[in-house]
Amino acid sequence: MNQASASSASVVRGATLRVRGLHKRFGGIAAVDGVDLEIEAGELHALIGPNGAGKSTLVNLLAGAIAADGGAILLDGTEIGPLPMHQRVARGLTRSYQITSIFGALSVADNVALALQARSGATFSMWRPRGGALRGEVDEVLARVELSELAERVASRLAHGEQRKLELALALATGAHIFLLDEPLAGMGEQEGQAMIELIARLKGAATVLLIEHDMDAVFRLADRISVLVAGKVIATGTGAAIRANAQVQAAYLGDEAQGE
Amino acid sequence: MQPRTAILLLVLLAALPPVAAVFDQSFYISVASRILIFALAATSLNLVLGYGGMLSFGHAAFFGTGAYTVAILAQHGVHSAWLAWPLAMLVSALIAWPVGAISLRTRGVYFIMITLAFAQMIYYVFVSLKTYGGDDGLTLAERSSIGLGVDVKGDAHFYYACLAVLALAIVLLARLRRSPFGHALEAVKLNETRAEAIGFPVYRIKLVCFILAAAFAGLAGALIANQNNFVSPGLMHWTQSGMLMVMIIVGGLGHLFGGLIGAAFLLLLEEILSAHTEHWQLALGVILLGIVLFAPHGLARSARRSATPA
Repeated sequence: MNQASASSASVVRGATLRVRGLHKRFGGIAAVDGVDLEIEAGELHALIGPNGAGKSTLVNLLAGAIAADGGAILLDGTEIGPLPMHQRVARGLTRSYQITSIFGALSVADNVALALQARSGATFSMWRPRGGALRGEVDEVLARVELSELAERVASRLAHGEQRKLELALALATGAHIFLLDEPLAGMGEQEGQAMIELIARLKGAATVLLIEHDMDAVFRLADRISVLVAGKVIATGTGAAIRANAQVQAAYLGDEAQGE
Repeated sequence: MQPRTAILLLVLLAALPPVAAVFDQSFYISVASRILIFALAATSLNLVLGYGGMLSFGHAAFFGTGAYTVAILAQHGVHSAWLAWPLAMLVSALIAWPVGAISLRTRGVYFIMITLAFAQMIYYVFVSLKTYGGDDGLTLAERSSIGLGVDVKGDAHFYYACLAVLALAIVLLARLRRSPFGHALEAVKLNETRAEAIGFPVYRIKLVCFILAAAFAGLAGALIANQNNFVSPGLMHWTQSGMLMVMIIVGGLGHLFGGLIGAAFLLLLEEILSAHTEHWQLALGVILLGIVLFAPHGLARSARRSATPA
């Protein structure tokens, strides 16, 4: 992605993401209840909160999978709330999934090629074959997530940890500069988890990242700032140290876990 | 299928009329034309269903629309194939546009039902169109004229016209599936949510595929109108849509030659069985059951598998 965005007119190092008074109700439940977020360009911002706090709903709202009932989402100052998902991707915002969502029947390389192709904008060209020009870029993306050796493997045959890497690779290949990473460490073992943390750490400064994660180790290691979501509301935002010290957060969520560190 | 196999197939098909003439079996040229036309219709459905993963249950509506376009134009004195056949494609595409635009808002069973409902609506429109024969259908005054020394009033010439059109459609489909659009379509079929999340305009991709397939169904319709010298609402009845579906499921969903193999298999079987018994549909049913059980991925793939044991 670095090379791709460097070749465009300006060197993008992430973009700002502003969320103002975002609301989403499901029946009688306010899943997201007036959320404000300020994420700076190049920042790695973690979003934590207990199960059912509305984290996944928030990601779905930001990515465009569902429509908000109220509020605004500003990408570099432009309202993107009314845009469908693929147009948000075109503006540089993409997501990964908590439950792995890849093209299982295709090879790892073909998976990545699709994401690269989507960016090229030649989607409706029907006569000329998709060129081999993508191949170089595919290799580049696979090298970044350390999947080069598995390029020809059918994606559904990968081990879980490898599939999680491919999940991330698909997001990277879109050339986005804002990533919404929904529990990238989900279901990973200790060693695999460390490798994934390394991969995410490399994004720091080069892109804006909103990281949803249950693994507190990872969150405190990676995040520049952390926001805590409880019952659809952001109850605190601050640095790792500030969040640990925040009495309200401790009461609502972290409890002994944070004090023990 | 290798390009060499495809060319061999084309040569064999091209040799059919002279061979049939030698054995004084010219009747079979007309049977073969019918197979090629249904192969084209089934291939166009294969684009939506096999390559696009959209379970459209109303494809015959576009087939019938193409046929009626040619018949109605003939009624008004327009006989040029160069005018009538592209217009058949255009009219089918224009009708598919709003049908697809609305149907593609739904998913799964709802999509099946809504495409079926639209097709039946179009069917009843033509049933009630008394000016153009209504329920009784409409006879073509004469076949479309191609010019260039081709006289499609002769069965052999018409057969070659059908073969040329089908070959062209299969070449186009072969190109399409390796093109960026073909890959995007595959992405949508395999994982729609993720396709959207990596930036594909999923809805538009599906709609373009739906309209394109309808255009080729319309072209097949233009040919069947000429083949039969007659069109009737029966062409767009839902059972016709079902038969096209059976053809590509038997032939091979998402296989380049699935439509041709399925149409040839089904229509030849119908020809053979109906010569022996009036209960041929029962026998056909048993055979189809056998195929679904023992060759669930279609005949095209089963043939390849037994040729190259993996």
